[in-house]
Amino acid sequence: MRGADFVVKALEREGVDFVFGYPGGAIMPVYDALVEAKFKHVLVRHEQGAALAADGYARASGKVGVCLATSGPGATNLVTGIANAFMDSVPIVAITGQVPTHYMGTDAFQETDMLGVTMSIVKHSFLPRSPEDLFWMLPEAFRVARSGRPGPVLIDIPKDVQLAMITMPEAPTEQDKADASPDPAALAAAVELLEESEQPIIYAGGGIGMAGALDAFREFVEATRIPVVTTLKGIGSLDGQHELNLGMLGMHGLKAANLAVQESDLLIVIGARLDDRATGKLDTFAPRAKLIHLDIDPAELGKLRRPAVAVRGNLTESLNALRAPIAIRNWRTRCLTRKAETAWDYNAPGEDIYAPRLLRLLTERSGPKTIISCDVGQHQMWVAQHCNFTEPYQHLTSGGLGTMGYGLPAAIGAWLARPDHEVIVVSGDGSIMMNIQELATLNRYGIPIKILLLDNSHLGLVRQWQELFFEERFSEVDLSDNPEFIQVAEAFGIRGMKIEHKHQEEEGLEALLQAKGPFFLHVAIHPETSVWPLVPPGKSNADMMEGAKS
Amino acid sequence: MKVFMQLKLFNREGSLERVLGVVRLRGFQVTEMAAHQPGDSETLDVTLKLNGQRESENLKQQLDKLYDVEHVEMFIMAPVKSAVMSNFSRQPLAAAG
Repeated sequence: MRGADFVVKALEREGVDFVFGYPGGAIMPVYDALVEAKFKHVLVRHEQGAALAADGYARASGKVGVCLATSGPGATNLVTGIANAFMDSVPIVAITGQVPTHYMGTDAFQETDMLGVTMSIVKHSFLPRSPEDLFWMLPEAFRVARSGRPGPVLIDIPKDVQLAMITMPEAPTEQDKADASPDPAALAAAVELLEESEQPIIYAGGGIGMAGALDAFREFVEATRIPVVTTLKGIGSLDGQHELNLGMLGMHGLKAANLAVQESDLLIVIGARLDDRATGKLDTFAPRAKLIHLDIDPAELGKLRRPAVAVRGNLTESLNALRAPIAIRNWRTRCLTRKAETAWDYNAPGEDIYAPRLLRLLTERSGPKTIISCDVGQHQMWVAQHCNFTEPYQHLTSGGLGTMGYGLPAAIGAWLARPDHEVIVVSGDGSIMMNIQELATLNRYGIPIKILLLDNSHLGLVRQWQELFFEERFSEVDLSDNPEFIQVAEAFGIRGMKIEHKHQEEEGLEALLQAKGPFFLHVAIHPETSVWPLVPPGKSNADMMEGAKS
Repeated sequence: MKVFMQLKLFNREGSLERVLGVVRLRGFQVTEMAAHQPGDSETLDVTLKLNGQRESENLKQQLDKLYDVEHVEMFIMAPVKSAVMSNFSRQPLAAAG
């Protein structure tokens, strides 16, 4: 067999169901071998779509996502998706073709140094110089991608390595290493802090779901009855309707969440990295609080704020060891009372469609098996604030990198991972144009994804910042020359509908949710509707701005 | 702050480049560097003197995470009465005075 045939066999051995990719010269031997593959290849229309679909597949399935591209521009087009997976700790393996080894370093046609280009945005990258290197590098790439703190791994395979003849090796026997157990002394110190605390808050991050520690986390919450705030990626780790869930914290966090954190005397940070969008100005963040920080990645412990106790290791074991009731009735009542007092009022003046209300209706009308895949901008924050999620995999969002164009390709990956789910893209008129070519992928494979486009004819979040922080000097945010989106959708074979007025909200959602195949709901909203609350850049999370609803 | 790092790397394609990339990204400057491949040719011993204002323990943790890094040790350089010699690469860990 050829090296390329082994690549396909190795993917089969890893249990790969789908590979997202786009062919080209330097990866042609692998595409030739794919003809006989037991898994399915999904042809996207731009390599960025392949990487982001692999990301969405990985988040929705809990497995490693795989994307495939040729050398040069094919490979560099993957870069944004690889960086996205790196920032959000998503396990993907990106396989790229490379020019033959004897051409490498000669500036050959479509040669790009992908090892160098991706070095700072991967967990690791491999460049097999011989076909025998493939034998260990491919399984190792999957192991590295999913182990510990997950992340992307690149394998850049020269074309002559793909074409070289080899003998099929035995299947590797190396098993994944289990996460280390937490240090008992650290756990004892954490228990002591918990017992001393009078105003604790649980700060729940995306690492909980990724570690498979949801059950342990929920049992920890029920046992301690400590109020919970979540990061953007931590949404769904506790049911959004749970009484102890105060909502998302941070720049666009809910008032009850941000104020509880600011007043707390102990933060139990679980699977989170204290991202600046969550903490606001770091030296004013939770000024009285000690930290217990639980994470699998030692480099996150103390990176931005020194914890009183750092607990590294298996999250389920750690949480099980900390599970005990604590006496904080007054504090809990105070947090929950404020949550009730600051609950969102969805009444908005005028006849325009009010995006937060529409999204609230969407989440109320959707069934329990629903996944929402967001793009980036105002709509992304409204989804985080107003939609309800019961599991982390139901909320796909580009948290760390903030990749406009994420929503549609990630949704494709998610639906292929969970075809029994309703997958809804919530996008904006700026973001949807970033990867709109993937509508062709929906049509090609008959993928019944629903798209809800919130169109304010602007780059809304940038416009909001220019209004608030740049003296209303609006610079390159007007998108009133957008195409007619329904016509665009129809050109890709997707039916659609446009709504513009409040009284059409129910009708539009009904059409979206009842459609049997893919559907495009174009929702015109007022350009000046802003996201509130907002913590201005460089300010404390206690300094939340609030404004008019439209 | 001056920091001294001793690393043992698996000498694979790009391993030294990765180390230097992390040093740069995490806010440190290389002021001295030496790399030596011991006889077994599988590994590379690297000594780095670094200058930076950020928390050096964070840098150590970031380097320790790299796939090709087998081992990393860090010493904060501070004035001492006499030179302290490393038994690793015969480089002074801290200069006299």
